[in-house]
Amino acid sequence: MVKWRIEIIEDFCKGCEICVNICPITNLYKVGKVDKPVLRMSERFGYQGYPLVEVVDPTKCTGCHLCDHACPDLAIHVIKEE
Amino acid sequence: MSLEESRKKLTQMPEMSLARAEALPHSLCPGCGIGTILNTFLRAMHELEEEGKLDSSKLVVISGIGCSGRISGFVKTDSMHTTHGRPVAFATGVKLARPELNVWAFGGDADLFQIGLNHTLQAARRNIDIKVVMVNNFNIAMTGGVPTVTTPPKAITKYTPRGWFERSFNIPKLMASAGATYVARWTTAHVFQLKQTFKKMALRKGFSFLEVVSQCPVLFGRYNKFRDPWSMVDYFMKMSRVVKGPQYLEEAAIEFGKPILVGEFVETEAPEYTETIYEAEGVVRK
Repeated sequence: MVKWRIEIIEDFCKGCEICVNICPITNLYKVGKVDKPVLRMSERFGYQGYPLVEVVDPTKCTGCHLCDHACPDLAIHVIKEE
Repeated sequence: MSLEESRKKLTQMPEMSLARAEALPHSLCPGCGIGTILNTFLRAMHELEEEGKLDSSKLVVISGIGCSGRISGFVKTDSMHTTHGRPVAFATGVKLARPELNVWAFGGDADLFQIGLNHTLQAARRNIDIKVVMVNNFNIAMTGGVPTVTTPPKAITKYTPRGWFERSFNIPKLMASAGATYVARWTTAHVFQLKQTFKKMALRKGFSFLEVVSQCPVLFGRYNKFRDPWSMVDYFMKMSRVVKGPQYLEEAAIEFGKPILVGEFVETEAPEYTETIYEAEGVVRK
């Protein structure tokens, strides 16, 4: 099975929540179909003062690349791991 | 982690090989759709370079004034940040002088269709091989949310608190009637389609036009019941209908509450301007 690693460059993230809302697994978590989301908004703030995104469960990631293509700040990267 | 280390981390990402890391993080608002367009453009150009179909040293990115004018500063290619409304005019000059280059012109709705409307139409009429990407965020955001030629009727902006009274341009129909040989429209919710269209435009010959319907959460969305960036992307996702063919051009104007038609409207062939002029003058192409 292919594993995916989600890399977030926190200095670039502006907390727009597009990645959290576009992620299919996180949307399944919202309706109670899976027990853990892939992404969620954290309690921490970045150096620019914006709330940051954090990875909860990367093993659930299917590698659809929707989050890293839609990120307006080039902050999130989904990397294939051998 | 310091900012320098973050920038170094970005340059280590293979698909970000064309991002100018020292200019990032960019100065656009949180959730701005121009960032998504920049992201998919960088990925498309990297993929083409990996496939061996494109040489990034032959890539030129030109942009005008406005929020979308920032794009040329964030790419590690030859780029120009030109005067207001003239990215297409500058791109025409670059292409005529150096026909082997792959020339891209980025502009906003006010840039390309208000002050620079004539340049855009004449380039489409000549069918010169440049690729024009128009970022449609429904207002002139850098001037503070001024309504423009693509503001949908009844939209509320900072300057029209009782609603905008004018009709908006039907951009795909306008470009098709000006003679553009490739006219497409996608929204920022269609990220993979955007990437594929960028790749297709880079490889085809002739005037290519792409309209990207983009969210502007800070200056347009918040007056029109789109409080956060995602609500506007979600609206685009739910309201867009994928079509193909010129028979849909009549209904392509964007209005609130009506479906947004997306897809490839026109794809035809016509003699290319630089080739015609170089043949007629007897100049050998490099």
